Amino acid sequence: MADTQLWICELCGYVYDPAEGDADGGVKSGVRFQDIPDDWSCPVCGAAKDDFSPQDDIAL
Amino acid sequence: MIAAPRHFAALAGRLRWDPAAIDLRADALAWPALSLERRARLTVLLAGFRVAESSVAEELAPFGPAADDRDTAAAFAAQHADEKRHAALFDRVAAEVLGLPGEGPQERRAAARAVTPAALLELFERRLPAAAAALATGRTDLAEAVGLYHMLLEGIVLGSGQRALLDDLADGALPGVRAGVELVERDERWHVGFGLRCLRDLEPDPTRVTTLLAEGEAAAAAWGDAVPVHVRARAEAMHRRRLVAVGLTRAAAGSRA
Repeated sequence: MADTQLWICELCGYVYDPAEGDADGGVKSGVRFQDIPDDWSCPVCGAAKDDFSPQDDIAL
Repeated sequence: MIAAPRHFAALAGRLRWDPAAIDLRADALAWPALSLERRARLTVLLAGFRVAESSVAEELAPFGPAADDRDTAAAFAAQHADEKRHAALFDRVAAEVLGLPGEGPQERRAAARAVTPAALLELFERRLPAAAAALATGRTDLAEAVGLYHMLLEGIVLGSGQRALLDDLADGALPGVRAGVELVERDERWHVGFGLRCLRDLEPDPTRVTTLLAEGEAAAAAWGDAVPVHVRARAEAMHRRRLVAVGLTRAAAGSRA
């Protein structure tokens, strides 16, 4: 079963959705957050991967 | 995807800080010992922030009333409180560290204006007030105003200026200033995220997005030589990446910011 866990940037509110990926950041759709390269950064504020946390109740 | 406006009002409440509590005494003592070249570069940046933060604090007022829902208006109000804090911090830096002349904030702002790049003054003291006035009177819409304020001014101009300051002060030369800029930068990250969410919800015309993208280069150059070329380039790249991230424009083939 595909991992659909959303991860939010604690600094700017960007939400990483595996279903969307981050095309401009070199991450294809379907890639789990844990599998994104460690040097990837938030596409909105440039924060590091460590600044994200898994969230189940994000206001979207 | 970006969190909804109500996320940002709650986030702002958790991040609140006091600009009067930043200790600038060591900075005031250290300032005269910095090299002339370094002081000149830092003066442009810090005086520019003195001018720019006052302007953004003043001109955000009509944004909340122009929003069509309570959560968005509340997030604009929370941002407005942040901007007032930022203006207060940079006025303290101008008075206590740079030693800009003036009996009060308005006189120091005038003194700061004298050393602020012309392109920055054009953006913050002419274009932004004009856009805010147009928004207040219904002559422009919120998407246009947010595009200028949050995407160009905060996302590119202020963001690149903060990066240049943090890089320059990484050696601890002005610890209070650096601590303050770190707090300002933290706030600006959510401001940009919130603005991007607003822009996405407002569904601007594609030609407007194209214009917004094209304006990134000029915005990144507003500081002139005070901001290194690589910092400007990154700010411009991030601008495009943000718009891609919320689907307002497409990713370039093989791109990676």
